Amino acid sequence: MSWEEKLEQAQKEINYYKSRLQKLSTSYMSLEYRTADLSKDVLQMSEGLKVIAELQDVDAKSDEDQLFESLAESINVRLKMDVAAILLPVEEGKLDFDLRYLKGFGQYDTETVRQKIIQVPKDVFESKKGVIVNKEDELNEFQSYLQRELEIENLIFSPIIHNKEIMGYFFAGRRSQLLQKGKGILPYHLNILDAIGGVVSTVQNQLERQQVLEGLVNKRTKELQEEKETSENLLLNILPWETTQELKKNGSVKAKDFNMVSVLFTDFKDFTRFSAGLSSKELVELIDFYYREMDKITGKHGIEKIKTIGDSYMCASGLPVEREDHAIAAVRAAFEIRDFIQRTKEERIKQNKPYFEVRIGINSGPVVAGIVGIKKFAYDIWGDTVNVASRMESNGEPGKINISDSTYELVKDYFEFEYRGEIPVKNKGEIGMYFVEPTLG
Amino acid sequence: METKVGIGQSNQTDSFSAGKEATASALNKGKIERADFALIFCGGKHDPHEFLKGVNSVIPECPKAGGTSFGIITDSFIGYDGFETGVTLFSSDKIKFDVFAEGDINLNEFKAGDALGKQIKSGGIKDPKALMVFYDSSKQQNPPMLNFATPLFAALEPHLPAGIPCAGGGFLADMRLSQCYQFVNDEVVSQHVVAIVISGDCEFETTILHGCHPCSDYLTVTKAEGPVVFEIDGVPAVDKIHELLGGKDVVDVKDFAMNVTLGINRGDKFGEFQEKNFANRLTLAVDEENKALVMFEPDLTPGSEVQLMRRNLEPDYLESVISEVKDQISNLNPVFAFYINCGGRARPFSGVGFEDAEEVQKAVGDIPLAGFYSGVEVARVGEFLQPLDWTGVLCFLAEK
Repeated sequence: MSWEEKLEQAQKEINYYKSRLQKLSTSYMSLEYRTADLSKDVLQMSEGLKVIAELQDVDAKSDEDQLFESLAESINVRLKMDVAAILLPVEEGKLDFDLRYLKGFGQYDTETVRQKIIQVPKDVFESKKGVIVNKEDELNEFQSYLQRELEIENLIFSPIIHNKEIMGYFFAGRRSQLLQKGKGILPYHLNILDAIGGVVSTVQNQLERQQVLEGLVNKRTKELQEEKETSENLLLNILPWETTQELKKNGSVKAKDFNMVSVLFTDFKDFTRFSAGLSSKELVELIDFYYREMDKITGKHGIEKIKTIGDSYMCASGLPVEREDHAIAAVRAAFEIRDFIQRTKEERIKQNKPYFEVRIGINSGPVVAGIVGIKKFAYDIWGDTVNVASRMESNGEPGKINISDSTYELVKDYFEFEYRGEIPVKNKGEIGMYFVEPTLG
Repeated sequence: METKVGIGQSNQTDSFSAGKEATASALNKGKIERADFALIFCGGKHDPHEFLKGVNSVIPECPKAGGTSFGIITDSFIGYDGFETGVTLFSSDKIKFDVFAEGDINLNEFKAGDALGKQIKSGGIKDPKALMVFYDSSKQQNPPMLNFATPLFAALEPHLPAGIPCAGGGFLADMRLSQCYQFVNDEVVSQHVVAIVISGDCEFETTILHGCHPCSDYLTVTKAEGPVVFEIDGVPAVDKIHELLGGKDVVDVKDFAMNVTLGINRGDKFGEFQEKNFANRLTLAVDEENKALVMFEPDLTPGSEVQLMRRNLEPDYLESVISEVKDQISNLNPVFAFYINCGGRARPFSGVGFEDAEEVQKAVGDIPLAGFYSGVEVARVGEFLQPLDWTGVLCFLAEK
């Protein structure tokens, strides 16, 4: 083979390998470009998934404002937009949407655009489809309107479907990328926003359910509160407030010594004889009428009602909270009770109705107070003072308030008295007694 | 006092808060009581004035340099959403940082480079060890155009000590060439080139992370004007690239921008492939009407021989290159690593299946790392400073 032939053969070989190499390079490069393109799309979609993931983390206490504010920002940042917004209807059922949740950055005129209202044509609204606008596209009337009003050349306007209805729209826009391939908004952006919209709907459902649950919880809490108040009021009818607190705190109440209290008894004159002429119902109604008023009077004077035994009403002043003026308060309450009974008597006489007369007795001294039993328990007081108080009542006269000398010593500077002398009392010997009346003038 | 470096970042959308948070975090991480110098970067969606106010609310007296960038890299964070901010604080008695700046780069890059070089020369800095140069990449004109690094560095270099280690990058606010800002101490400026001269008991090593291999014959640029390459091998440039890539049906011409890369081999034309000898040129845009490629730099003049480059960015490759440079400073105390990475290499734009900056984070290890995504990267290729595309420039600052 000549030198020229060898050269020609070598050149042929070079050309062959060059051609093979070029074909391989071509095929590799084209594959690489396509892979790169797909890879960019996948990355953008994964950023969209991150928005969805962030939505899943929405705090259960978030309200709609917080949700949409952070969502607009997340769409803007993650999808590398210049502006993003969530549009909600100005008025339910209308096709006007406002841009309350608008996040624009850089040179975007956020404040101006935020003031605008976007009017969605009925056919676009009813189609429930999204709109993509790109700078190079031929635009229809609505697309041009969006581009003009939203002040950005490339944008996406996509419905948020909630319970099969449009609850609002997503808007995201970006200016044209000089250093990036072609269009600003790509079809997969619509898919991403659709997916985000689906999650928004779910979150919205959660928020709505939460609101309903919160409403139920509030209602139930209110009911429980009311029930609690009723129970407490009932308990307060049975026990003094301080005792209820001790009972709630400790589950029991310790008996307590009181050095000085005033115990007041009332009793209706000739009750047994009188009650024989009435039906049981009438009798209960009549007693209830008197006792209700007496409850009011003792309550007004800060006197603790202890109990009623048949026609006898018993109360004590100076417990469960000790007070220095217990005897004065007891006497003043006794005056009011006596006056009420007297007024009632006069009225009932005029009406030709049966009436009661009352004897009232007061004694002052030490008592023990507490609760006994576990069923139908009641606050009660014990001690000689109680027995003597009862004797004061039984040794009194209708329409009079009979007090012992121990009570007299405590109130002598405040009222008028009629000394009755030392009167024998069963099992107690003689006790000085006084009828007490208010000071004249 | 041993040199301390603290790096902080913030991704808040409020610019003031982001600046404040990143700076406070840098102080805290570096256990810094006295900040002597700060490198500050913020994403393109931030208000640079508010960001600087946020930084100054923490370190009002500290000298600063930096700018708006396309993205931020730290040892624990990579971001390019536009809201990221990064602050690096230095506290050292051994290493000194001096900041110089020159404006009007948009009017004449060469003149600005020359003036900056003269400033540095007359600055009287004793024993300068390294130089970092950042510049505004966007001319802010219509139609948009870049500020070119080729004339800028060609004018700057003669004023510098021969062979001084240098790394640089062009700031881009975003992929739209929006207004870009630079920070020079307490000023926010535009169309500036900023130089940081590093001096003292230290060494500065740089390495280039290309990740591109030639995949074509040598091609000759036959018609070009400035950064626009009209013809290659006598045919329209777009047609030639299409021919190499398999035709219009295979690759859309719109995909050429930020993808098509042409490499210039400064070494032995037919010798073994040496990555460090290559300067790569990335296509910025396509002039479809003229079937021309608009490149990032204007140095592909008629007669230039280039090859179509294919990206070959692999994690193993990055690790091996970084290990090599770390070995060179193993007898010193490395205090700081700085990575200037091409914005096109960020995952959302590169299409590469992994984030190369993540591999850099791993390879750098526990040395504090900061950096930013740039439009153009600058490093020494052979004898001279060269603007590079689709490149990462990694630097290490080590205390002696």
